[in-house]
Amino acid sequence: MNPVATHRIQLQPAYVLHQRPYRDTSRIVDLFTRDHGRMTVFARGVRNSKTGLAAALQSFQPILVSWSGKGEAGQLVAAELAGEPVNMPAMRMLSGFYLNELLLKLLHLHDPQVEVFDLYNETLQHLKTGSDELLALRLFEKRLLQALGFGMSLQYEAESGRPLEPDGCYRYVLELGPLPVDAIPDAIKGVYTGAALLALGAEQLTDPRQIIEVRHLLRAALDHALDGRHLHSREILGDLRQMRFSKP
Amino acid sequence: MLYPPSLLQLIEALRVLPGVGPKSAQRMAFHLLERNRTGAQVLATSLQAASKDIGQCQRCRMFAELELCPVCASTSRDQSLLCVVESPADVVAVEQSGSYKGLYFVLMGHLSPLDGIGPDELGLSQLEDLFRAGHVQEAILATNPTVEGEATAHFIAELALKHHVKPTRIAHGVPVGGELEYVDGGTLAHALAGRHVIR
Repeated sequence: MNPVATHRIQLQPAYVLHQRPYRDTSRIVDLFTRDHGRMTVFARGVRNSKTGLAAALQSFQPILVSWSGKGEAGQLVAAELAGEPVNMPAMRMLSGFYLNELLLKLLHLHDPQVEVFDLYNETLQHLKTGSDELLALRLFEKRLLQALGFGMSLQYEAESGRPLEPDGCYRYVLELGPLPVDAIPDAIKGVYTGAALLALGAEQLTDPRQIIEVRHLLRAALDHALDGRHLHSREILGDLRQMRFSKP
Repeated sequence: MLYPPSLLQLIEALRVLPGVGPKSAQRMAFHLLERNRTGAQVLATSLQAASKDIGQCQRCRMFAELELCPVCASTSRDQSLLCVVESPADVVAVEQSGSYKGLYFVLMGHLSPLDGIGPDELGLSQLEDLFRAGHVQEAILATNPTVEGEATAHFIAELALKHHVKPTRIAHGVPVGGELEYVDGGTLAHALAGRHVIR
């Protein structure tokens, strides 16, 4: 026997983040697996298969995948549904694509992130059934940043260490924290109310205005984590929104 | 060097075809040169003509030689029906079903935010112009039953409603001659949701 036998992983819980066609009938599939992190596999003969592989390899549904091979890209051996088929409402799918792109760009290959996996699972459930789509996205962004080591300080001032005041006004300096400023809160300029920062820290965002406010902060923090990489989905979602709300 | 430069170039050129590797390309080139020079001439002229003359239909984005494709130019098609599909191959598939007499709109893809494919790439403002023109009564959304296809269909349905066009989605279900036992859960769920009364 070959001492370095190619390993084979069986029935690993996973989600499809993205896929693209490869040659005539195959696909290259980006997966987020529970115990092996983000990874890429080749799926042969999916596009004309009668085995239901194409149906299993849809985003936003929990699947169990088996693959073999070492190195950068393994061969997909099997994939089956591990729960209900995709029942994400079509209008929420665009948000789902955004989550997928964040994971695709922020997770390292083969780096297990069980906590993020559970977070993603939970957020998808929330997008499927929950009422507040924007709140689900903001909490995902916040917890994802936290899990990946880009967590924010949302309880105390950066230099003095004094607790944040709900009525206070703060400039948030990334990698440092909130600094008190004597200004009018303006999220676009990076100046936030203490109440919004505290609410984000405690994950108690109930005020729609605060959700909009922290969106700017999270966006700045994500851009920092993305380190110059561009989020296509953010741009496309913006274009779609513009088209949707333009006059007939 | 084993091959003269022009033969080498031909072999390289044949490799642009999907699924053709160096071996198949070499076999094709040898076949054309050894057995079928006339065929090779015909192939060369038709490739040249097609790549030069074929563009997009101004109305539906299907391949067309003139301003309008044959379907859009025809007077016998139902102008009130518009079938929205992802690719030219889908137009052919629907045409071959023989059960559709309306017009088409070819997106040339589906919404794929991660690949940067959005409304501009799919010609959605052109589609909106068609809705706005007022001839279309019903938009049949025949994008593929994938998550991207569903998201695309949903978004186009919103655009259609904005212009008072009725959006409909093609049914998904058990293939003719298929067996329920072997149909995947997602398809079966769609088939059940789309059941209808037997009259």
